[in-house]
Amino acid sequence: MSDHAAGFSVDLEAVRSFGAGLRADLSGHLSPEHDQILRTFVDTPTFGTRTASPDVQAAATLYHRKLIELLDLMDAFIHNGAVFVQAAEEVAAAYSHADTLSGDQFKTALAVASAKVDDALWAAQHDPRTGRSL
Amino acid sequence: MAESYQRWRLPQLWEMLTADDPEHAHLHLATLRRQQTALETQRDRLRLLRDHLAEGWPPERSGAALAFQQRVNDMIEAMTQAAIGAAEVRTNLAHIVAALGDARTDLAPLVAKYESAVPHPDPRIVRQVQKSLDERAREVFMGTDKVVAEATARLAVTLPTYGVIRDRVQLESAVPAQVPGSDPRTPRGGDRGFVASRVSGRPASPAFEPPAPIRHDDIDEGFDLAVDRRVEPQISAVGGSPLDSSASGGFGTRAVSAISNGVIGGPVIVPGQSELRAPNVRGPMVGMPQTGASVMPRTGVGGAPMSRGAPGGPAVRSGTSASGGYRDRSFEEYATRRQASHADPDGQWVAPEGVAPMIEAPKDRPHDPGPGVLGIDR
Repeated sequence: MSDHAAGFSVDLEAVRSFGAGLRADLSGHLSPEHDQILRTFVDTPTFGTRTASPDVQAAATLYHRKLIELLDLMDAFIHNGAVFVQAAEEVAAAYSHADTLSGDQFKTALAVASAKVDDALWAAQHDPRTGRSL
Repeated sequence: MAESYQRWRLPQLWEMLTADDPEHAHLHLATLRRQQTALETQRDRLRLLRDHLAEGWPPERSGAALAFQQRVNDMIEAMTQAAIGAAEVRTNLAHIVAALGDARTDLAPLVAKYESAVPHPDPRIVRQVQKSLDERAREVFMGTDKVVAEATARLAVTLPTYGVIRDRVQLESAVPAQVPGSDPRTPRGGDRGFVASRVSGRPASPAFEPPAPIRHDDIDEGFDLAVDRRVEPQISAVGGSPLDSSASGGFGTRAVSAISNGVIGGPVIVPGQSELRAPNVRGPMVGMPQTGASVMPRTGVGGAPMSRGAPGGPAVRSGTSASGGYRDRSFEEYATRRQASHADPDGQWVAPEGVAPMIEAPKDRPHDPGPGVLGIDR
């Protein structure tokens, strides 16, 4: 279904507002929270470091796995949130040049946004001159 | 298979517990709560943003808007499930932490008793008390393991499978044509530094370094003082530390009375003269030879103490006995004989040979029983 066929005009301000609001939330809340949470989990040992109990060892191992899963989820939320921010910009840019944007075209915009976020991620983690990991 | 902890004693078990700082566990719990709150807050904010977006870009009227909103909804749903998962992980971690805390609380007084047992002059009594405490510590650990195992089963929370968006296109060819105005080759990155965490890595995988087990020949399989575990609480119940000799009667006296219970005819422990018994002999023993004078009062009818000479006991003299009866010289001989027979219960009655008999058999006399009274002529 194309926007043209539906016969409506997009409120680009709403799209841009979405991107700006989500960016503010991510950079002002979720991302720093995740940093703090990750730092705490990395720096703080849990339990059973000297235990001989197979049950306590199993509990510590499973807990560690769940922590990793939760941290990976947090990473994914922040990453995909950034993709949405970038995608909103792509969408706004696309609508500024055309009246329509199909679902397939949005997928492409999302892919572009994803690639840009990955590039941003890589740039934040590497030296721009040498390309070495920071 | 459940661990029995026979390879460790109380000090090692205590070390296993105290190696962990309880504050660390509580910090984890607080951080999990923080993570849950962060997820719920972000989810609620994302819902608001989505609803505002839908007003200006209705999904029911645009395929692109619908596709976008589906992606956002997926993330909201995953955030909800992740927040629930974080809460469940925290709840079950709290159970595990509480179980370990309870074990610490239970073991602390045992450790105090263990340490107070060291100054006692008789190392065998010290060791026996410590073995009893070891066993109780092991029971505490096994109980804790049960609670931990139950909490661990519930810790296996199913978290959402939500990954990073990896949609890819051939940027050089497809994107400029399909998305007018979007040029992926133009400045990338910008100020999206929030995507990259300033903290790298992940929590290290847990590594376990339990204290070295005690040597095999130190494991509690050797000689065992005749202390019945059932009476050990009686020792403590008398008052203070089981080895607190400053209390009335001192540990030795109380230990003797307690230890004697349940062992009929078994070795009796007197202060400073503990008896050993064979390994793997538990519970009452009947008929075990005594090697020392019993300190348990023997009572007669009505509970009156019975006086009795015992092998190895004080020498019996003629005269008036403790019970008031007269004893002549023959009693002394009797007592001596009896002592000798107790000293060698399996020995034969030895009679000297080649010695003229002291008593001669009467000569045969003709016997003519008269009429009337039998035996009147004798």
